[in-house]
Amino acid sequence: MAPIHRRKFVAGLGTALATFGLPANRQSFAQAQPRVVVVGGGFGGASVARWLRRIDPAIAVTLIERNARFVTCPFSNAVIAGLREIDSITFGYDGVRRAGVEVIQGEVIGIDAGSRAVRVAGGASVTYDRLVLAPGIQLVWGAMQGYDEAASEVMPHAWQAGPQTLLLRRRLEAMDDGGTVVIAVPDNPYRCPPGPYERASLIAWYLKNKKPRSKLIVLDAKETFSKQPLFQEAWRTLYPGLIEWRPKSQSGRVVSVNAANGTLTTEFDDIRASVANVIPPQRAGQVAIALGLDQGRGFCAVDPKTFESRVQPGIHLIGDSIVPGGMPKSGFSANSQAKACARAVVGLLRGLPIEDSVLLNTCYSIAAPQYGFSIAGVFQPSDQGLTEVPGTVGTSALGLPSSARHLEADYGDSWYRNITDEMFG
Amino acid sequence: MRREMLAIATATLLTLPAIAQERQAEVLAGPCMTCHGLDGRSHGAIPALAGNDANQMATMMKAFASGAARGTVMNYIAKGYTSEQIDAVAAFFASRKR
Repeated sequence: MAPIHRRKFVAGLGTALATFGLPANRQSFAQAQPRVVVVGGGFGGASVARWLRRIDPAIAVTLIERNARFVTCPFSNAVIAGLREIDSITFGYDGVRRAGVEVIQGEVIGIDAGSRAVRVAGGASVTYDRLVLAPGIQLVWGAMQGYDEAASEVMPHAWQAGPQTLLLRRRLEAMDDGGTVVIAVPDNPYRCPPGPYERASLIAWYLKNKKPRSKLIVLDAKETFSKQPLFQEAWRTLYPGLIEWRPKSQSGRVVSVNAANGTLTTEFDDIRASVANVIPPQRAGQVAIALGLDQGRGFCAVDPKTFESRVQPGIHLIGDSIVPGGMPKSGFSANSQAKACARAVVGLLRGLPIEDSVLLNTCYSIAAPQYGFSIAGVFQPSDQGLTEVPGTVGTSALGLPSSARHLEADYGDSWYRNITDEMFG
Repeated sequence: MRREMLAIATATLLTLPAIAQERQAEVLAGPCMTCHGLDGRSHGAIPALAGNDANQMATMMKAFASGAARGTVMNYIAKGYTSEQIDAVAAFFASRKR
């Protein structure tokens, strides 16, 4: 259905262009079949596109994504450590198409909120009744002095999964035994709060097994981090003496890097790295920034019930690009926001009441094969944004037997199969 | 397309309260599916929910919420739902095909 509709739409593109600035005409089209355009095909975007179709199959949904395939950040740390291959975390959009979503592969080059049209490189232009932006993050080059895109080819960030993931893995594989691996972690907010520490754990696993005379230093711009007691317990148990974590107060904050000689400079020290993994500060994806939806703050404020932009009516945002209240920036959060957003968008398009939503986050971290632990929480819309329901946010306990860690590692695998099946299956 | 929409409109008119209830249950159950699989059909270690007994699932959720049953994440998550919401979610998954 969708492809036929699109052909018809493209054939009538001249008409569509001619009606820009004539909202009455567009609305009469909208009443015939509302169209939602989704930009970005990751955890937020792929989920919201499919849930819109599930909730109301009479709505036309177009997903615009620049890449032909999506590589997930979840489990990319396992790829870096050689525990998984990248194909196992890479997904195409055939399943999304089978769900009746029209998928356009292309770069969004402009959004006209007035005429409600999205322009895609190569000429296509798609009008919408409601637009959902799920652009994820972009890295802020230069925020850490000396760390730009060229430097990331030497000191990979690997914070957007894909070629960077494989680059970091190759650099670890090429390192001599006895080398020093350094991970630089930014201040909050950033994508996947426990991610850097899971990465440190799995790189430590690799070093312990393949390059046991090596060491790992985590330079952190913060004083505390997500699931900290659980990670530190795992590090003491699994990798004694291998990982050194330096918080900001112990000269942990990296202020500049020199990719040419492999040096990271903190407030007081220079640290030479054999392999450096620099995770720079981040902000919302460029399509959101270009529209000013972040109001200059880096991330975008939304209505916590509808996920409609506080700046631009008709445009909704979900996932890592928003100011999420108490929710962490995770794939799970994005998926949960996508479901609530899809409900709200259908309600707004159809004039239906918008149901009360409950949003969840659950995040498994893997410190070694068969060694997992979790954080979970329930969130709901309130005057303060998406706020946690009291008593619902917490982590696995400390001091549990290895059987409990094994079970949560298995749950992590199962979660990954289920969420990726929901999005791409 | 027009016929499809007419069918939806007709169905909506005939059973509005039932559909509203189903919609609300699906809103509450949607986030559960992220771990337990689409419509409660899970791959791997996380328990499937589709087609299970509604009473058993509701009793288990309430036991997780009170702490009478020890789980992993469920002791936190169950506390986020009221007793009525738990019953609605349990009924939703019970009605799904395995």
